[in-house]
Amino acid sequence: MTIRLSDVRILYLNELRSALRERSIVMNSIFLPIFLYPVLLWLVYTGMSFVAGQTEGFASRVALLAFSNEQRVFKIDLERDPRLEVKTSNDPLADIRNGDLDLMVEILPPAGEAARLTGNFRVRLTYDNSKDRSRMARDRIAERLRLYRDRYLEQEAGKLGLTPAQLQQFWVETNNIATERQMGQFILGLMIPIFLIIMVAVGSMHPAIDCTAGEREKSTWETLMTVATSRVNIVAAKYLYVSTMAAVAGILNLAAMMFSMKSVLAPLLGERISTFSFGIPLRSIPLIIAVTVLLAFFISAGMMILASFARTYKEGQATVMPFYFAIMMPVMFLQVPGLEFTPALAAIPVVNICMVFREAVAGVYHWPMIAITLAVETGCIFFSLWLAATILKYEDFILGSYGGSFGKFFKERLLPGRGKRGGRA
Amino acid sequence: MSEPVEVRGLAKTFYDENRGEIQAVKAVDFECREGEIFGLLGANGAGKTTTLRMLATILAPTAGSATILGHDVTAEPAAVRRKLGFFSASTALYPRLTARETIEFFARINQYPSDQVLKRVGYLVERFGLASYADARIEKLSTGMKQKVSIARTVAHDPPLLIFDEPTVGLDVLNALEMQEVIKEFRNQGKTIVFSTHIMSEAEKLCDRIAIIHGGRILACDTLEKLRQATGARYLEDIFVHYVKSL
Amino acid sequence: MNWRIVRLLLANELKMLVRDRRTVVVSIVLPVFIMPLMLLGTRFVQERRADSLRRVTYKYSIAGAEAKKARALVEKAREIASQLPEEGDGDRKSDLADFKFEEVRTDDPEGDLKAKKIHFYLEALSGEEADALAHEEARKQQAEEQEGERPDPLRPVRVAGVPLIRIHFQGDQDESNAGRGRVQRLLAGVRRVRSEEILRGRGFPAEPKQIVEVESRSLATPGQVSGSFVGRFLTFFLFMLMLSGGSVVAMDSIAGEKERGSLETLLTTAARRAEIVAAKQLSILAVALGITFIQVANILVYLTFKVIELPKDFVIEIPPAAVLTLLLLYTPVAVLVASVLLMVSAYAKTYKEAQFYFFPVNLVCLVFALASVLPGVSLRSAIAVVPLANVSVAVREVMVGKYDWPMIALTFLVMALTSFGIARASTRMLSKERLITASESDVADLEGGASLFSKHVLRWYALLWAVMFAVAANIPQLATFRRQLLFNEIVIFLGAPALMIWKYRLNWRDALALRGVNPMAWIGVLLSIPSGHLVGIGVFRLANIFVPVSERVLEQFSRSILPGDVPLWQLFFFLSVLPAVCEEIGFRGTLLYGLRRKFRPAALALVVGTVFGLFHVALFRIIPTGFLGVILTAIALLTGSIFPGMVVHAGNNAFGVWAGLQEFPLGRLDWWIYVAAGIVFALSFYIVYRNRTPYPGLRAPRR
Repeated sequence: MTIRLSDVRILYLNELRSALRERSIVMNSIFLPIFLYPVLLWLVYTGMSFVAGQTEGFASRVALLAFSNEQRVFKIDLERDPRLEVKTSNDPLADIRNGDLDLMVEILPPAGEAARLTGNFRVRLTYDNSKDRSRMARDRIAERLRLYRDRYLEQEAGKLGLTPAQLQQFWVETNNIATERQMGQFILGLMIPIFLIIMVAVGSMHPAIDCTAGEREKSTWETLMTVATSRVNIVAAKYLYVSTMAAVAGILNLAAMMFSMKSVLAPLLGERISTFSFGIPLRSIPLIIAVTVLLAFFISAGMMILASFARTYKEGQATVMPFYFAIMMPVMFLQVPGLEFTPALAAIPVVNICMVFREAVAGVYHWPMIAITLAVETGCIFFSLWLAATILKYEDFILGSYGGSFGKFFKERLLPGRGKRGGRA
Repeated sequence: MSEPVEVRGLAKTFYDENRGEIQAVKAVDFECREGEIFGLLGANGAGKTTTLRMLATILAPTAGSATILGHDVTAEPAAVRRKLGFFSASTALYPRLTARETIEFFARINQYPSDQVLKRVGYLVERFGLASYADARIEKLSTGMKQKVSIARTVAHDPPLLIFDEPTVGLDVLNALEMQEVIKEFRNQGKTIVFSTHIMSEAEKLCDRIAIIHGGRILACDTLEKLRQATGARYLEDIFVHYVKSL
Repeated sequence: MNWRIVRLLLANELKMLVRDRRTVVVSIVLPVFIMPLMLLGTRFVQERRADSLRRVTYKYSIAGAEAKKARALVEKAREIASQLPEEGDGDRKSDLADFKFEEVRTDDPEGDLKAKKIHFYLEALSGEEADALAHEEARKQQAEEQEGERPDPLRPVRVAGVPLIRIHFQGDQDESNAGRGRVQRLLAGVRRVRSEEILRGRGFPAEPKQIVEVESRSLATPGQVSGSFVGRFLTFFLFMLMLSGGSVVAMDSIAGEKERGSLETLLTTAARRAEIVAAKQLSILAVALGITFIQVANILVYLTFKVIELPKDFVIEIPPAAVLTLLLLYTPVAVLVASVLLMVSAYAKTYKEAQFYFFPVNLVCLVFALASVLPGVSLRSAIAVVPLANVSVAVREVMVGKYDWPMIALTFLVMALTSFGIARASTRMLSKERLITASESDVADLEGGASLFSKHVLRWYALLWAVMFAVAANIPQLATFRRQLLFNEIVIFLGAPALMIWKYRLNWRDALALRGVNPMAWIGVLLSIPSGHLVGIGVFRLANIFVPVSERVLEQFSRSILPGDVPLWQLFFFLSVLPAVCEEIGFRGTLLYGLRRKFRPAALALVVGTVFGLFHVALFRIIPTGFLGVILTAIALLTGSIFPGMVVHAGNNAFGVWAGLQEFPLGRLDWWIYVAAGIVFALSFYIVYRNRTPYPGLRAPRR
């Protein structure tokens, strides 16, 4: 059996065309990667503006207790703050519990040596830690108190002959010398691998099932087996097609991430991020695409092998699910910064790709590790292809009359030392 | 005494977004007499299935009325369904139930007296020769076996009226012949049978009376003999073409 | 309802599910194992990270004129590191005590930092240098943006003349970042300790922290605090479990049966449709609850074996009354889940299609379930009538021990009615012929052209929406309001319809509804401009009660669309004429044309209006613009022409601009004015209605 490229091409284009007319494939391989981020972004933005509208409107309702003339300045501070609403209450504790009041500010006499300071006092804040508004009120009052304390201390220090500058001694500021681009790449590097791998997996799942189990269900499988070309060509075409869809999903997603990440993250990470730039170094792009394509080939092979044991679309989904989870699991753990790309990590399929992505986005290239990664992934692909070729030698499998699962097939026919049943083609 | 099936001005209109209203069945009238096989003969898309589905209360008629053994299909659908068995190529079985479970399920759900269900199931398993695979899941059975289980489930509750919608579609000669035999046997048991087909020979062989349906209308309805006399044609095929062409 | 039949059907459903080994494994067994694996894996990785950050010896160097003083401070920090009281939670206490740092002498600290030879460096500036730097920065900021954020008056600032230590670090390097954080906290500690020493040295009679000493006490018990945290996510969490659990059977339940043909078999049995739906709903319910139960038990097992660790003062107190109330609240949720899933399944023709709908439905429901996360929302508000959101909020209240019985009863009632309504809809769905006779091939695909356009039109607009969004966020040249507006109007609302007309070979007169109008109708059209605008503002104010808008956002918005330096004619052109022409072509032109047969007139106006609203992106604009969109669509439907809509749209916008320029407080009028405007508006619509020349080719209203 030899591969005839012209046949593969015809078959491949046919698969691709019918895929582009299938709603769930178009949705998962093309629309989802493109639209996910803008929609997510919009939802986050909308949610944030809703919450902002909600919280900003709240004036914290506080009751002031036992204030005397000495705390007049502090009281005026509180009354002037537009975010606070001073209320009177007959039973503040009950009101706080009911949620009619957020906080009670109670003045207590100062204790110990601090009592010797004129104008000093203690404050007791009573609130309800299980209520958002109450907690917010506490934070607002605490802020005012700190300000008042600083001013008081400054005055007292002044009386002792200390200038404010002397009291402050020195000031600490931080300065991030990483460029906006570097910060953007840092964040992208953390997020890209996981999304990319999910998208490649999702993008390949539906085509893989559709062109194996789905064909069985629609009974087009047999039609295809009767055409005048070798089965290797058919399988090669299908494999190329699934890998194409997977790679397209991955690359579209990458582009969509770069375009919308900034706005998606802005409301989450605050104002500063709006200066970050989410670009990927140009010279990394060939590497990233190459690795994405390898990943697509690997995942597609796995999905197709498993899905080809199913007879219906639904069964196909159930059979590929464990593989899907198996790919996802390691990726989930890798979302911590500061992970080093060691040969051990480079030897684990999918994980190594994650690491290559992360570094390539930041413009870092550990060539030996990249070489190991490429070798490992290529090895995986060849192993999968060998497995597929072996499976395809069985006639009952090709005709769709084999009823078992992949596990059963593996145990019965692929493990060495077992009797070869089922008749090879 | 009224007839088991009486259909008066029955019509069905579908709505399609792009084409607007589509009249699948346009005011048909016919009746079936007790113990006869009544055939609806028509090409694909003539309105056979839609008519039968309305009789089986799967679809609600847009206009007109139909009564089955005295029950109106719109007013008392549940009563209608208790008294009929509906069989078509598209009424599938549950793949994960066994043959025996399937028959039992349909007998019970159609409210066959519960103390007699098991006896009935045993009888049907016997009658249709299902004994050797009665406890295998349907998904493991061959097409012919499934066919038999399907018939058994149709009559699981021993209904007086049976509707067969193109029952031999996709069957091989032997299975199709057996199906015809079974239908005849049901008639001999005194059941009334409504039967649709586009195969002329089948209608010729089986039906006591034939209605020719085309474009949602019944063009003629009588015994084969009377149709021959009316058209002067010998074969049903010619009779059919005669009516369709005369439109 | 014959319960014997329901029971029979239910037993049948469950039997078939259990026999489907693959589904059982994938949806029940797999998640049970995956959850602990994920938790353990995440914990392992995180612990390793913390560990490695702890073991690092952070290298730094010190530069600047005051390097010597800074070095002394760092030495001081080294001495006091282990005694520093930790701010915030106590868990992190150890990391300052273990903090190992080592100075590296270098001439080029920045170069070394970039080359990763050191983790961070301190630059010590004298008071004058710091002042100069601050001055420079302020000037730069002023040059860049006129309207900088006002500085927060409550934030502490550097006093002029005070020396400055700048910690330079590399934010994209984990270790550099961690080192920076630690040294920052150390220096803050040193400053605190030293200022106490200074004050004491001058004879200050007390410790500074005793001034205005604050003592906080919370009335909430630890149980309530934990409860408020758990209550916030409980509904979301359980709802998600129920949804994913229920979907295992639901997708297959009606859609799958339809696909396999067994639904038709079932429909010809004596079982009524209501009984079939009830049985299926019960089976979804049973499975959803079963899987939820297994998963919750699973989590409890991990909690017991400490695979998941809870914060120290985490106490869950759920008294029997709360358990009962939670049961009372979650029962209708489970029923609702089953109803919704069943309806999706009943609506879809195939298993695949059901899955396809499942995702968006899921998303929408989860948004409602998250209502409890919103701060300050009380059940005693409009939220009590929003299904699911009400349960979410009610549960949070119950978890902190607040039982608002009348509102809980209302919540229960609303949920029960909703579930019932949806279940009824599913029952009706089983009678819909299109779902049973799904075999008719889609003619649109054969015919192409206009009928294919109807199928694709919503997809086109989804794409446009995404383009509009992505472009605005990423192309800096379009960052200004006016350029963005020009892009949206010309490219999106004018260009895209032209492309659609060309691609689907539409008749452009029909597609854009370029038709004459009954002259009498114009009176109504003109009358509706000011009244409609006022009614719109009334709607906005009403909406504002439920979806309050931050004043700042509104202010920013009106500043950005009404910049002071633009000539008047330009203002009216950009904000009134241009949007009116382009947007009408985009929405009341091609969109309306594409959808005209998909919905009946009332729904059509609603859909086109909603899409129009969604294109205005910001939450606070969606409702009022959506309202305007509905009106404009209604006018287009009544007059059969695009022109009255253009006039109303232009007039409406111009009215708004004029009021904005005059600073006329349209948004603060008395309510009766809006009501009066509403009456005039209704009258204007009546005039249009009486002189209508309806849009051709619509679907007939429901008979």
